[in-house]
Amino acid sequence: MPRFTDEELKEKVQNGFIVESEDEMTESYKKALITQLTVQGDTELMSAPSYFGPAKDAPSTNTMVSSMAIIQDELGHANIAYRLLEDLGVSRHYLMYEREPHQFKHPYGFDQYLDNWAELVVANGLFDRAGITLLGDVHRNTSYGPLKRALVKVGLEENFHLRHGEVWMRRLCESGGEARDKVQRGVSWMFPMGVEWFGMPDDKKRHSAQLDFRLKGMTNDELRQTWLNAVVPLCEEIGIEIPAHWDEEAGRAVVDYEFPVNYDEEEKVWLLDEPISWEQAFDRWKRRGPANVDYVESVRKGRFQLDEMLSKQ
Amino acid sequence: MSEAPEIAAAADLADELRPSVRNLILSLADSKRILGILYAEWVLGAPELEANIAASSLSQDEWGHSRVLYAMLKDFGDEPDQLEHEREPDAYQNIEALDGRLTTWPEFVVANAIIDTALTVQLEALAASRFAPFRQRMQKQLEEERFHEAHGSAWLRRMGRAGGQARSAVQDTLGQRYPAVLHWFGPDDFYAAEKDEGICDATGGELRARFVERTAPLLQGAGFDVPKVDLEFSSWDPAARRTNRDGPDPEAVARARGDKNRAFLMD
Amino acid sequence: MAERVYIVLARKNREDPLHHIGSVHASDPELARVYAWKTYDEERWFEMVVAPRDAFHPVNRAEAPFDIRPETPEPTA
Repeated sequence: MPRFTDEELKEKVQNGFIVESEDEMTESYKKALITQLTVQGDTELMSAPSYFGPAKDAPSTNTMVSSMAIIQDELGHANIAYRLLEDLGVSRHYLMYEREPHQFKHPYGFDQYLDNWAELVVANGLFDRAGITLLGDVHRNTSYGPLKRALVKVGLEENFHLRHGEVWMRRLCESGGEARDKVQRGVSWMFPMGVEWFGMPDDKKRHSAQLDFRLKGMTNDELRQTWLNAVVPLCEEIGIEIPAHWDEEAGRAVVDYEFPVNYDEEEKVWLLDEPISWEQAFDRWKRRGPANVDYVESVRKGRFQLDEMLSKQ
Repeated sequence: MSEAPEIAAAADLADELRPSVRNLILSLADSKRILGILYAEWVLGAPELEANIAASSLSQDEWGHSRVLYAMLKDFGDEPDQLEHEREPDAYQNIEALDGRLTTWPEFVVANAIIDTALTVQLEALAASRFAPFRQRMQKQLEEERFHEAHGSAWLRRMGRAGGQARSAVQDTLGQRYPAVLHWFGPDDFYAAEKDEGICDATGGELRARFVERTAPLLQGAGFDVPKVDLEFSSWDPAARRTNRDGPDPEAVARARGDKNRAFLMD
Repeated sequence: MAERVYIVLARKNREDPLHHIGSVHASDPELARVYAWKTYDEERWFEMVVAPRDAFHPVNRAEAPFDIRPETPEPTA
């Protein structure tokens, strides 16, 4: 028998109450928390194969160490989210090994292949920035005690990833030539993915259990704006073109196209003049991107190989 | 304990010892660079999430060690950038047991529990060296290696307990790679002059004995047979500490050189 | 390969108290030690220890804190 009704719990957490055990949750609270943690864990997990592509072929020992350290962090963060889910009754084994690839709940951005070192650092600069924007907000605002504690480590490490991305984006742009061109190419396909990352705009989605239960503090639009306000000035400063600009008068970044829009997966090109509905965007996410099956298999291969050996006594 | 004064730099080494100390450093550096590359292949596909994390950390440690070791070679007239980015596989002086990729988890476990430990046995023999750069740089590496050994031996025991094909796959890998590890330490009198000079505290034969003392009880305790090996050094090259000169897997070398992302080399 | 949850406790400096910093899954204490050290490497810890989660017994509350609760909940009447 839950101790509180939904309305009581919503009021309590808005007044600063921190949930510490299952008997203090309502069914809806638990459901919203499980969804949030699954997206979080899957996002961290699927960033690992995505970064691993270029990291294993990094240009030098130093870059190999830093990029492999980032992957190690991401796997650790996935582990933290899955451990928390396990305590809520969701099997970690199910999450890691039993779902169909398309059932993972990470953003579409981590269903893409990163073609080279430049794309890896752009992903660090843009996607990890999205991650920090979301998780930083959760860390400051979440009403769930175990998650708030776990995010101390996560926040520390994600900041390192972000700095890695931004430092390298600057460095590659300053060196010009092919290095700069590859950064531009990466930003061109990753920037609109970042814009989509935060989901439906507030005027289309008013109600959010995650906000009501204080599992996060900012709305989708507020989060997206925070991300844009960081990413747009960076790109302008290093001379990378994006379909957005800084609006001096408004004191914020503004996107120059009507999103969401169509995406050509094969060419990795956004068709900025072909707006689509959010339902169509969600359909694309749900179909998952080109690397989805490959990435999911790559994080599982050793487990299945060993299980196979163990079954042959 | 040697009371002889320390040797501060390569220039202070006796002329006849300088090339062999240089080769010793290169052998360790190449072995660790390649071992890191091979460990890294398991950053995604290890049998559990925590083991992926460990594999990633192990690979970074090895690369960190190799970076320190390559940098030491500057003092010997080598160009670390050239060593890192320009060499073909046949110029590598890594331990031969790491020539082949680690394509299965049992192979990873053997590399971690046995081959990595062989490198550590060599490092330990340098920790109190009269050659100051060894003394100054080995301690951190040895501290990190404690966790490599703990990870390797825990997994080795786990594979032994599991029995069946998991156990036999480890035993097969031992059969393939253990002989090369024993040969890596060289003939019994290898490094006799280096020992006399207080550079390395053991000869090849003594290093091999230390390694066997360390790994045989582990293997037997985990339910594995220690492979019987006939030592044969007639075509062994003391400079490279290898018998064949093909070098490691070409793809591993291409990664070590950073071939695919050469356009972004600017650190 | 039966796995257990191990609680990870650590402190950064000598005068610090041990803090609960997280948990790992492992099939034996040896792997738990390595996994904890490698997973929670965000600081240079002065000291880190691990203990099986079911070694913790609640004292003043019916249940231990949620992230250290026992492996198998007490059967309810």
